[in-house]
Amino acid sequence: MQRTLSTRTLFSRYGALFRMPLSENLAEMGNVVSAVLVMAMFMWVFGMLWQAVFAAQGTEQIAGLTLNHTLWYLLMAELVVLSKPLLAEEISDSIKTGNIAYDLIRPLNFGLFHLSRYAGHVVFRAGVNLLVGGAVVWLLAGPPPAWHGLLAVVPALVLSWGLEFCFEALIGLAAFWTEDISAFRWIHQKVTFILGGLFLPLDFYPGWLASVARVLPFASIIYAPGRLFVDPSADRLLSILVLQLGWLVVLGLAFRLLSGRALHRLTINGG
Amino acid sequence: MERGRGLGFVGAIWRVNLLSAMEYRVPFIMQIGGMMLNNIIYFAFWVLFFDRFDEVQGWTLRDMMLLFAVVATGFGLALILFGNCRSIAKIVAAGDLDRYLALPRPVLLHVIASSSSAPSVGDFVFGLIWFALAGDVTVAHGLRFLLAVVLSACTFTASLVLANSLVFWLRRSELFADRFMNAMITFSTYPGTLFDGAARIFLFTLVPAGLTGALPVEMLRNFELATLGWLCFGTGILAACAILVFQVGLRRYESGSAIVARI
Repeated sequence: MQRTLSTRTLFSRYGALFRMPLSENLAEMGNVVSAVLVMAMFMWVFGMLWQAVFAAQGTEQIAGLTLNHTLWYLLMAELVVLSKPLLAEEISDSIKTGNIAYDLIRPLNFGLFHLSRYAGHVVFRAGVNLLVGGAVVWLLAGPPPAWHGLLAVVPALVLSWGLEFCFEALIGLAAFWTEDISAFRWIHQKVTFILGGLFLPLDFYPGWLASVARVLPFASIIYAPGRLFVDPSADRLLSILVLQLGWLVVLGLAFRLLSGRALHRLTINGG
Repeated sequence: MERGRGLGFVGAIWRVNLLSAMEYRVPFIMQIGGMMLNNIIYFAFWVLFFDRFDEVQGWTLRDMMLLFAVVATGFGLALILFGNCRSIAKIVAAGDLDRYLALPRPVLLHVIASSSSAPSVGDFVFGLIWFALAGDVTVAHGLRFLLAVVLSACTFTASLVLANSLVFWLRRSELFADRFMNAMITFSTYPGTLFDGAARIFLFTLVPAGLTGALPVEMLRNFELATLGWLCFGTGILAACAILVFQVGLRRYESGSAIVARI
């Protein structure tokens, strides 16, 4: 009896969900502008920090990266982190308040529903953050080291946000089992910061740690797009995409498994 | 008489906050443990940094431990006592300020003390442990640390009230308030000597992270009355601005008889 929807109808539905955050963000421009100012502040202070470090070291390059490379790398790293919405919190809140019932009665796939909205938020925020953060870094350190890096980094960024979506969704779903997911969120955030190379490119880490961190999904989220942007090559792009896709399959399967189990546990009281 | 009653009222709120947090023991303990682990992982960044660069403009890993001790204990104390200072934007946007306006108590004090952040107990405990690990645990040093922590907590509270009060003019500013808090925490945990000129002015005015981390640690490393004076002066100005901006903004507040649509 279940109706099979045409691909066009599905695209239209999820497309509408993708566009919705754009309207939300435009309606709350004050919120977005102020958040963008914070992005500009981050890049400016990072600029001060790394200018001081390079000056103190008295060298043009550290671990093969110049000041220009380092700051553009950090811009990409911050872009990944600051452009994503707080999905884990959103899912956890909807579970705790019971609003998840409204998500589930929609004729939409639970994962794709959140993914469409997530992507809409990311595209809008990343565009604005890139413009503002890029302007600050350009002023501090000059233009990007390679313009074609901008093209190469797009697929890596898309997969990077895909991986982060899976992590956030998995953490959000944990609210089905635990009262509070904050501890998981903080630990995931900090592990991603450190093993992903948010504040310090992995090239600056001790050799053994950098080798381990490079193959973990956290580096695929932050380090990979940033490093590709400052030093693009076909080989690097290919190896990054293969690793990212591998982790995406693993985390996507984990999400599917966990969401299936979680939704079976769902009990909604009242009416 | 009025002031005495006001303080008693805040004490009663803190008691209730503590009891309600303790009601759910497992999440409470998980949040504290999670926050401590979170801070340890965050500190790992600086271990890696100093492993690579040894010393940056006179700062070593031990100084970073002191910095983390002051910032974590100060931030923890601020959010244990005044947990809602970071949620004013959310409360105003949702129109939930009405319930505070109807009561005969100072609105700002009532709002910010009405919630206590359980994870911040983890920050507080982490900070004390880090202070002990950084060495030099003498009575004099301990008292200076206590002073530094109290001033840092006041600055955190005042800055968050200021940033959140923007909501009275912007209508929605939760995202800004959240990012501002992250910026305060991030920049507080950077060595103070790295910044000079415009960056230093910036870190003592627009995002006053210098007052919550670098300057208190400077006072700990080399105690001078002048440093303490500047610290008290900066904290006092910020607190006065926070109260003033909130009061001015409050006049623009419109009741929360909002219609909430669920789509």
